[in-house]
Amino acid sequence: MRAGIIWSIFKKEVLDLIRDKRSIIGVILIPLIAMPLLMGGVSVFMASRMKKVTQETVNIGYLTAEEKAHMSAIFTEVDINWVLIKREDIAQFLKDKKLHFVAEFGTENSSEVYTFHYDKANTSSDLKYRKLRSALADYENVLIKEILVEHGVPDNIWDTVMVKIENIASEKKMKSMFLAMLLPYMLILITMSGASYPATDLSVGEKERGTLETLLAASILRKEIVIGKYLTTVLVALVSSASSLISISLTFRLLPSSSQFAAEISFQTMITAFFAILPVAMIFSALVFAIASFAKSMKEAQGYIGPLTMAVIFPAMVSIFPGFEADMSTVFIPIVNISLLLKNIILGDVRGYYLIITLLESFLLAGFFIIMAFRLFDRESVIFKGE
Amino acid sequence: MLEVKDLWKRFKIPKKGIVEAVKGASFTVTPGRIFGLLGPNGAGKTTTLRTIATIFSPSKGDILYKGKSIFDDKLAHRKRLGFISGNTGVYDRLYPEEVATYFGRLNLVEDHLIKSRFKEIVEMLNMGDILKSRCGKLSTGEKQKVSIARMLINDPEILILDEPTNGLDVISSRTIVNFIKESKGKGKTLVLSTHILSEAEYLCDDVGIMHKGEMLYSGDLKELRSSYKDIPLESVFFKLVGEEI
Repeated sequence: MRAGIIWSIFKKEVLDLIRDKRSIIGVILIPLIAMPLLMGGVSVFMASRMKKVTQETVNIGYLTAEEKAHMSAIFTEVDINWVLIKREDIAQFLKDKKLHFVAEFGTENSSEVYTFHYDKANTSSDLKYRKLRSALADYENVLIKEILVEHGVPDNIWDTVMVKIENIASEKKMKSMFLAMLLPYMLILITMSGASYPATDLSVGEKERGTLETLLAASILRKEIVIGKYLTTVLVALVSSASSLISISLTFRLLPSSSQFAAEISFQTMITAFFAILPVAMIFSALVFAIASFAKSMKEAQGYIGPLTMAVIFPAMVSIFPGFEADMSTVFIPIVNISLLLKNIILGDVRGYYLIITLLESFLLAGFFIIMAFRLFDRESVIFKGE
Repeated sequence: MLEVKDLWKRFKIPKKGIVEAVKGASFTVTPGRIFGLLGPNGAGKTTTLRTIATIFSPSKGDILYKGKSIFDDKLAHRKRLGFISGNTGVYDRLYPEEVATYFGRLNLVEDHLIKSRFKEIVEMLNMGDILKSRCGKLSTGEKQKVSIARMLINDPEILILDEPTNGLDVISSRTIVNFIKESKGKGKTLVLSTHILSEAEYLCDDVGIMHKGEMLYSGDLKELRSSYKDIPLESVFFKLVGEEI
C-alpha cells in the first residue's frame, strides 16, 4: 500500500464531505448545537416544571368540616385550596382534574387513618402526594414521641439504631454522576451516527453515483481505496464525537449550580475521554463501511445500519444501569467496556488494566472489520451487486 | 496490440446460480484502429470491457497487451488505460479540474504534467466555460466532458469507451465522436462498445458482434459488410444472431 495514494483519496473525500451540507449539519452542527440545546433545554425545563409543580396550590377535596380542620392542622406548610365535596362525586372530581386529591380522615383500632384518593398516573398529583406524605411522617413522629413520653419511655429510643453515612466521593464526583451516566451512552451513539453517514456515502453512495467504477479502473489497489475512505470516516466520526463532547460538557458546566444536572469536567478529562472514544470511531467506521459496501443502494445500507444501531444501544446504556462495574466481568464485552471506561474517566476513577484491555480489544475488533471491508471490496459480486 | 483470448466470465448470482456473461470471446485491437464491440443490452460487452480494465478477473482465458498478460501487473496496465462509460458519474461537489487532478494523482502523474495536460484537454473539448462550476451543476454532456478529461489526464495508450454517447444530445455526442476520431489519429488503442449500430458503422474499423455472451463475429467491418453484400450493419447483426428483423 502506498501512503501517497491513500493521502490523495483521504484529501479528496474530506474535501467532498466538507462541501456537503448534509454532512456538516449531521456531523458538526447537530452535535454542537442541537444536543446541548436539547439537553440543556430539557434540564432547565424539567427543573422549572418541578419547581412549579411542587410550589403550586394543592386542590384537596374533603367530605366533612371536622376532617378538614384536623388535616389543615397537619399540612400547615402546604398551600392548600380545600373544596367540600360529596362522596359520590369523588371519582368525577378527580377524573375532571378539578382536584389533585380527595383526603379522608378517620380512626381504626386507635390508629389515625388518612385516605388519599388520587390518580397515581398523574405526575403532578404524585409529586404533590410526596409533600403531603412527608408532612404526615413528621406529624407521626411527633405523635409517637408524645405517646412514648406519656408511657415513660425515653424519646431517645428512636436512636436505638443509628445509621451514619460517610460519603468518600468528592462533591465534584457527586456532581459528575449524572454526566458520567449519560455521556458515554450519548458519545457512543453520536460517534456511531457520525460514522454512518460518511461510511455509506463513501462506499455504496459511490456505487450509486457511478463513480466507483472509474476509481476501480485507476492505477490503485482496492486496499488503498478502503483505507483512504476508512480514514475519512474515522475522522468524521471523531469530529462528530469531539463536537458533542465539547458541547455537552459546556452545557453541563453552564447549567445553574442548583440544577441536579450541573457538572464540571476538566480539560484533561475531556482529552482522555476523546482518546477513549477513538476505538469506538475505529470500530464503527470499519463495521459500517463493511456493511455499507455490501449493500447495493443507500436505502439497503440504511436498512442494515438501523438494526446495528439498535444492537449498540443496549451495551452503550450500561453506563446508566446500576450494577455494571468496570471489572474483569465486563472488560471483554465490546461497547460495554468502552461505555464503562468512559464513565470511569468522567468520574476520575480509571483502572490501568481496564483501559489497556479495552483499547487493545477495540483495536483488534476494528482491524477485524477492516479486513472484512478489504475482502468485501475485493469481491466483484459485492462491488457490482444488483447490476 | 491488445489481444483478448478465449475470455470467459462467470458470476455466481444468488437465486440464479452461475451466470456466464462472456463465453469464450476472442478479438484483437490494433493501435490506430477503432474496435467496436456491438450487441444488445446483456450481450456481455460491459463485462468484457471491465475485464480489459482489470476491474474484473477472467474466469478463463487471458488478455494480452504488447504480448504480456495484463493481469500480471494490473497497476501498470491501469496506468496506461483510460476507461469511460455512459453511466460514469463525476463527483458532484468537485470542480472539473479537481476531478482531473484527483485521478492524475491516483495514476501518479506529476502535478506540473496534470496542469499542462488539463489545459490541453480543456482546449480540445472546448470546456473552458464549465471550469468554474461544480460538476453537480453541469449538464449530462458537460459531465461526460469532465469524464473524458479525467480519463485523458494520465495520457493513456488504451481507451475503453463503454457506450460513451449513451443519453447524450446530438451536440454532445458529436463532441465525443470527434474526440474518438482524434484519438484514433493519435494511434491510441481504442475499444468502443455501443448498441447504436449507425454510430459503429461511422466510427469503427473492426467490430466484434456479441450476443448472449458469445462472440459471433470479430474482424474487419468492411469485410463483414461485403460478405453480406453491403446490406446495412443492423441487417447483418440480425442475420448473425439468427433473428428476423
